Amino acid sequence: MRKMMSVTTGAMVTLLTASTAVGLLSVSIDTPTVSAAKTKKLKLWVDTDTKPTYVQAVKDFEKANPSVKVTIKYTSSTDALKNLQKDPSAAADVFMFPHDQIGSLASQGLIYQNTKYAKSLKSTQISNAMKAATYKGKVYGYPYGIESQVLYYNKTQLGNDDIKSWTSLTSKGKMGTNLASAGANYIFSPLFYTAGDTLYGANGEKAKGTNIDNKKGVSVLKWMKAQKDNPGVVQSSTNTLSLLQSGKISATLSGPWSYNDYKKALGDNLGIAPYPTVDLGSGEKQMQAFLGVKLFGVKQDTKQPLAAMKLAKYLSSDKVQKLGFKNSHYIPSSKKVQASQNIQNDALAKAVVDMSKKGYSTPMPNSPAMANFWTSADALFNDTYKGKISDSQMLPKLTTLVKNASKSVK
Amino acid sequence: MHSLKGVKRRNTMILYLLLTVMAIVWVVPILWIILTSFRGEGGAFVNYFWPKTYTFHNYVQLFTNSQYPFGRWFLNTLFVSIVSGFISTALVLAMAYSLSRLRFKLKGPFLKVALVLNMFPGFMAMFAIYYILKAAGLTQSLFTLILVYVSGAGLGFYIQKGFFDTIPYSLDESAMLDGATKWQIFTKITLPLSKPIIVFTALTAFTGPWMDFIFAQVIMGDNVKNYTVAIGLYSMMTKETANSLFMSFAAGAVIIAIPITILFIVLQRFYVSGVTSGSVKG
Amino acid sequence: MFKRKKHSTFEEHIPLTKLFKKADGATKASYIIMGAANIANKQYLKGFIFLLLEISWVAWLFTTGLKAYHNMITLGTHAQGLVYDKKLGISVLKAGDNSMLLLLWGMLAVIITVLFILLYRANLGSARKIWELKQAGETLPTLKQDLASLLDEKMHVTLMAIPMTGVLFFTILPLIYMIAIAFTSYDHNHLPPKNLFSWVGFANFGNVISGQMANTFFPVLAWTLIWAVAATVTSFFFGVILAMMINAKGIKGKKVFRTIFILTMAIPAFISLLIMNNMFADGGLVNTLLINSGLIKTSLPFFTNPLFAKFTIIVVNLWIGIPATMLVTTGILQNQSEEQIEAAEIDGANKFQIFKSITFPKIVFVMAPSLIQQFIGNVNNFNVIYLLTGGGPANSNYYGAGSTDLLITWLYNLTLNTADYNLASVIGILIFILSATFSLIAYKKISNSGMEA
Repeated sequence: MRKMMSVTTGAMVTLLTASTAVGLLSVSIDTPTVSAAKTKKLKLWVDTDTKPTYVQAVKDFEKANPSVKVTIKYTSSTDALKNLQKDPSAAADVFMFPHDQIGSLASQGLIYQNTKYAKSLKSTQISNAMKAATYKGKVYGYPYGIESQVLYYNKTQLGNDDIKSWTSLTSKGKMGTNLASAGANYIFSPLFYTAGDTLYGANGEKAKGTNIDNKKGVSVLKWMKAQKDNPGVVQSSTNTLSLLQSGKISATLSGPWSYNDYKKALGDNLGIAPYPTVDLGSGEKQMQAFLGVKLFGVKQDTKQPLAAMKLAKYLSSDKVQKLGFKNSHYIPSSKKVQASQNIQNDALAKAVVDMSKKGYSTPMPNSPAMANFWTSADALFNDTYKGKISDSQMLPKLTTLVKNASKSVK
Repeated sequence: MHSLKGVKRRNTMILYLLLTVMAIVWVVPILWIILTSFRGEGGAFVNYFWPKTYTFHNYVQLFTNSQYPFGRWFLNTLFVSIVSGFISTALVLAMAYSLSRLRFKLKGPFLKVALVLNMFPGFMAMFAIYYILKAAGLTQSLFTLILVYVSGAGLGFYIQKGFFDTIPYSLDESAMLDGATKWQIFTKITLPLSKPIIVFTALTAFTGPWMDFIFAQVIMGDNVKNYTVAIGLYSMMTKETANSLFMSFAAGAVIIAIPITILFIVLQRFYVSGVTSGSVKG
Repeated sequence: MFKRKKHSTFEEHIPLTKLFKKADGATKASYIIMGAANIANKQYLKGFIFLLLEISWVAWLFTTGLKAYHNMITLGTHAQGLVYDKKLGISVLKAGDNSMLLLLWGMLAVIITVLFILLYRANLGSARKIWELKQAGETLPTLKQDLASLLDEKMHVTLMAIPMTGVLFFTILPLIYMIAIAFTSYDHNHLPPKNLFSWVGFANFGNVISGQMANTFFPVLAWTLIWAVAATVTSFFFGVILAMMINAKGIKGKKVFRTIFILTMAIPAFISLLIMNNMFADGGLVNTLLINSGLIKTSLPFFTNPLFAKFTIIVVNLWIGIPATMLVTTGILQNQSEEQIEAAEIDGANKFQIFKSITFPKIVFVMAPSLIQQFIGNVNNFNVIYLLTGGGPANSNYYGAGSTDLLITWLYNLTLNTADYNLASVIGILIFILSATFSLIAYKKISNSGMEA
């Protein structure tokens, strides 16, 4: 009896709630349709710290396109994939993302193919940027900037000639870099390019295209292992800034995001240059970095594809790239803007532009399988540096890494 | 006799020493956050403890930076935590009381099921919950956040039930003999005896919204204006900003800690006051 | 008064099948038209609510419900596609089925029907009650009496209704949805909205328990258990010791000490963990101060050596965990009856014996449920690992996990990095089985330990 009665009331309450929920639910599952309303509403996602650039750019865009109303929302561009995956219908029509997410975005059907403006972008943007905006032969992104690690050094401790090669850098000064903890993967994986191997095939999009399990790959690991005994190499990760400031290290490898901190620490003594050369056992070769390309994308289920594409195209235009450089210190991806006086006079921008050239950097692979590479590479690099891996184990370890790295696509 | 006193004094001294050392260990990180929040130079990592320059700038920046509207986040969190604190406390106590005091069929199995239900890791549930809320048209609002925080109350009653279990059943029985209904027993006898656990429950419920930086983010998405302090502060720690905003982050941490600390200090006497023994005497 | 007491035993009822044969027309009608017996016996409100809910369920079933069940079985048949739109000059999206949502709404539909079945049973129960009361010649309760009972013998219904609704929608529904995912092909190759996924049975369980995943699964499981036991036991043990110290006779400034330790509880865990991460980093405060003072030459590998990192995590967790235990223990210590202790002292027991056989068991008894919860909480302690070490240092023998990754953070990596939701769900289920078994056993132990829990 009691059981029955308790169930009665409980069930009533819950069922009522349930029916309300279902009622609402049937309303909300709508399908995206291309609407032809008079005012086209667009949502734009940009990084918080780029606010000055895009508030201005959107204002200009709206002036030129009075029928479009753009709302700017601030989210981290590195979370673009995660945010789009969570709920595409609530995502922005136009969004920023780092190019290595393009493979996942495209294969999950989250991003609109860039058919309309691909051709004109190809003529204005540097080739590496367009390569990064392309996945499996189709262009998806609208490039607006590039980033690459560069060499930061203390001019009072190192001269122009000292920074040419890793050997002289570490004999004349102290190189603070990270081989022993998380993050080593990003800095040192491009050494495989220097050695002549490839990650995820020539375009960085073939899951089974990693071929580092060979002699060249082993030479990279041997080099890493040797750095443990190099007195000119100081393990530094989080403490790089304070080591640089106190003069305990005289150089480090990092990206544009560190510029403000280093500038504050070293002032006019901060020198910036492309990567040095490195000797992996077969002579001096240019040390490579990953090139990161910053892209705008249009989400696949946007209700205003044409307006959204137009906005994305506008945000990657020379005018906005110039504005971005001025206001948010973005390094542009447009050939013309890169060649402009402002960029050429800026030490950081010039170094990054130099690094973006072929032979200095390679766009980070955009295969979705890359996610598996990162953790495995970190583990292997850390263990190698700490001397946990004997020379004879190197090849089998690389084979395992390749196997792990190829795993994502069965 | 004399030596016994000496031993006692020595023991007390050792206790003081131990307690002081521990107190220092517990205070240093807090002191460091406070000092960092006033530090005028450097970034996230410096190789000294005492700042070289002191400034209020980090605090000022928190309230003036339009990209990180900390003041608004603070009010949001205060609102959410107060409302959800009240509701959660009521619901948790209701559940705990029912399961401790009232007798009904299926209570035993229910306790087991409730215990177990909490144990499925919640990560993937987040997205399911997000879609349930979305279907009800409820995303991105503070009300939703309250709803979600409160919905956990139905299963988080174990400590409270343990407390009610320690209140002698004889009190209920004598009240029943006097003709009181269960509701009267609950409101007139049990609750007044339960101040400590009410305070404890309210405190836990109140602090929850200040600490959640994952679930709240899933619900709020790109609606920065409705962020709580936890998501807001966490969003300040990206690769680009982690160093330059670290001192403001510390300042934010100090500001968050202030209301909670005051509550803890003011309310701890309830917490530790001997109420269970009081009920036996009364 | 005796009448009240009777309620604690549960009465015997006539089986529903028998009732149908014996009962009058209105009661019989209740088997099809819900609330019929109530309406026939003038319990109009109750009767019409039953009836209304039945009609709404039937309406729901034919408008939405059947479709939802069908979709749940197929998980969608039309993938989204692109159609070239000549007018716009681009291909536009032609929406398809979203397997994930279809699954979720299917599960909701299941819950709705289960609720309806319970409601139907309740309707029969109500009809039976009326019949039984009439047979016994008693008067039927009025609406007022029914409502009043909600504050007395049926008060648990009143108290539990709202919390349970929350649990149903925000715990149970997501839970069965997640469990269902473990039996689908919802992985990186079948991500909605572009792709459909389908039911695959137990295939995913095989993938996790054998093969390369197993080489990661079992070591991570082992560390998860070690961590959970170590973290729970150390926090509890040292928390009790600290409380004993503060509350020892002759210690002055109890309040000050207590307040100092409580301070740490006021700081959100994610902040203190990020700060600790900063302080113990290679270039963090602890290492620099130690180096500056000449005690060590090179940084201690707090987070970079696997074993060291594990110790660091457990020690840092003490910083967070001890004050809470201290606070609860203090409450218990201050509440323990002086008489009992005095009696024990008269019997010649020394302080340790009193602690061992009176105080400590009491603490354990009161804290047992929270200890079980803490243990489970530690098994699923995402924050500590995610914010302190991020799972690192990396381990080249593992797949997608670091040396300090717990199952829960590994699960997080699997969803976030590789989008293998089905594998993550399998791990979730395994964590669930582990936690549930443990706590049910522990819970039973407490219940058997003499006092009713």
